[in-house]
Amino acid sequence: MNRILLVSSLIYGFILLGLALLNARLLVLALPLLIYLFVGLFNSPQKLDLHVVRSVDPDRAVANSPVTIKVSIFNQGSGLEEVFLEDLVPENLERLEGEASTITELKSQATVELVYSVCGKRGIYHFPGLRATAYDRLGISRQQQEFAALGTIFILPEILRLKNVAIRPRQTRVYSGSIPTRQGGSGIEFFGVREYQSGDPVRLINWKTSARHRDLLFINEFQQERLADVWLILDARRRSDVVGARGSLFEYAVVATTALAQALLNQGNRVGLLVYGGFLDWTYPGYGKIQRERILRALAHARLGESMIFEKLENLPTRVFPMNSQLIFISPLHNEDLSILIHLRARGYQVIGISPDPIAFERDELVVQKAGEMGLRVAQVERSLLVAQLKQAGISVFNWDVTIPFDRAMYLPLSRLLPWFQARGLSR
Amino acid sequence: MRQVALFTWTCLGSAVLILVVGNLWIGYWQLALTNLVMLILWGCGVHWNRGWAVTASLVGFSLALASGEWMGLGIGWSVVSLVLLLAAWDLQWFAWRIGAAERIEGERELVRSHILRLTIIGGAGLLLAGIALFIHLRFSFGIALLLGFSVILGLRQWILIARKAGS
Repeated sequence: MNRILLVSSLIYGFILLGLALLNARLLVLALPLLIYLFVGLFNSPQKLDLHVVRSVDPDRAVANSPVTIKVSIFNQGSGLEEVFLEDLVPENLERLEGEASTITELKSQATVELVYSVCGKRGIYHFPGLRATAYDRLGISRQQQEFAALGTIFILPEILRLKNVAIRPRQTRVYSGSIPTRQGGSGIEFFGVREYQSGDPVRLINWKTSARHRDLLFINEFQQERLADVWLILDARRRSDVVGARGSLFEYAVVATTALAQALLNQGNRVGLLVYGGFLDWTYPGYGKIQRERILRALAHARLGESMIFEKLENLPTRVFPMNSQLIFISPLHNEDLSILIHLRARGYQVIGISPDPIAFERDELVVQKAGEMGLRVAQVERSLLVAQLKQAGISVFNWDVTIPFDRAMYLPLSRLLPWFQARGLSR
Repeated sequence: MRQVALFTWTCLGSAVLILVVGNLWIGYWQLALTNLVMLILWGCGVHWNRGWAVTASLVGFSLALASGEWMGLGIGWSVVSLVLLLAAWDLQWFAWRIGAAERIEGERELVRSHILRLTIIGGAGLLLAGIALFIHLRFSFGIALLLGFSVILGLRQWILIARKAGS
């Protein structure tokens, strides 16, 4: 209840009672209350004039690592007898130490600081500002204002280091890079031999081959290594997610995407990201550290979503992906996805599937009964069948048991070509 | 904080003691019992951090006090206990206010200034009430009418404030 209202009511109560009962002594009882109210209103705070500066250090961090927030509040206006300063901390951030609110007397031109540290899960957190509530010394009247002191923390997903991701898209870009192409030229790996042409460097002449021919010279050619366009497609459909005691399977998919993006960008490729869930969240392809930052930020706020339109993969906007480029689809996979992925493969895209295994993820939590065991086996067979069908269509699918960290689980499978592909001189 | 709590309970205890003893003295044990019930309500409000309970308790004390005064409790005791109750109520809210903050900057100075102002207000209230007791004014019908009119105007203003607070 408003304190002014309460004291006023008591004053009126005593006055009305005194007048009604013709008792002057009841009027006297209103006097101390009247003085109390008068002093409170007389000293009521004026409009607040505070200058608030926030610093966030560091402004990007990994999950559950501490971030220090420092808020400096400088009083540019008149002195405040009692002021309650409260920094508005975004929800889901956990406070580690320090204080985000204080009550103090703030004289004119004086400064007060709030220092505290927070940690949180993956995401982007915006600090809206600071709420200041000034009171008179008795707390009778108050003045509340919010001051903008914007700040943002990026809590990035866990970044695992993958040494190498061996991809072989059909089409590469013109710039030299680390992906072997099917063209001869300058490079490291031997590709073939061709007839010498005017202008070719003499040091490349293959003397043994040339010696077998009377009038011709031959030179060695090496496999060209180029950069490629890679699109990472992260499945953020809610129906694909599984939540268990270890958290959400989607979080593992995000970690995998982060590791892949990091490794592919380190190799110099042009990498783009599409988060396919409630809506399409694009990060257009690019190179280098800036692109890495863009992708990390996109992954920091990637959320599961539900949409009638994007419930199935059939609305994947394939026109955006460059022809014959490399697509990496990170998803637990559904049976309905099979036809779309085969369709993508048929259109010339090289597709790799990284699939966090939902069955292995749930296995430990399911009550192991006879019926449960049977169900698990059926689900496992269905999934194996799906993976086999995808592989048959020329799509590499890596089944990832999330109990093993992604970098360890994928170290060998992702860093070398499968024997089947090597034997045919094909990419995956 | 402990200092504030000590002052609060000292003021409240003194006020209740005066009211209970005074009411028993004039032979109205029902009023004394009402005051004790209000004290329990106040204690519950403090224990469970319910501001409305403390405020309701203050209103209850005030009603009991006015009734006691009507029944013949000395005005001096009534004024003193009202000032003590007001101080206790104010200090309780002050304690809640500073307790809501995670850090109290300059706590000692803040508490000292608050108690000083409260003491001055209480002293001024007692002084003014004491002076008022010695002043006897006789109103003619016209002046009484004028006073009544100003009370009505004041009431109108009070309702406006109440509506504003409500919105």
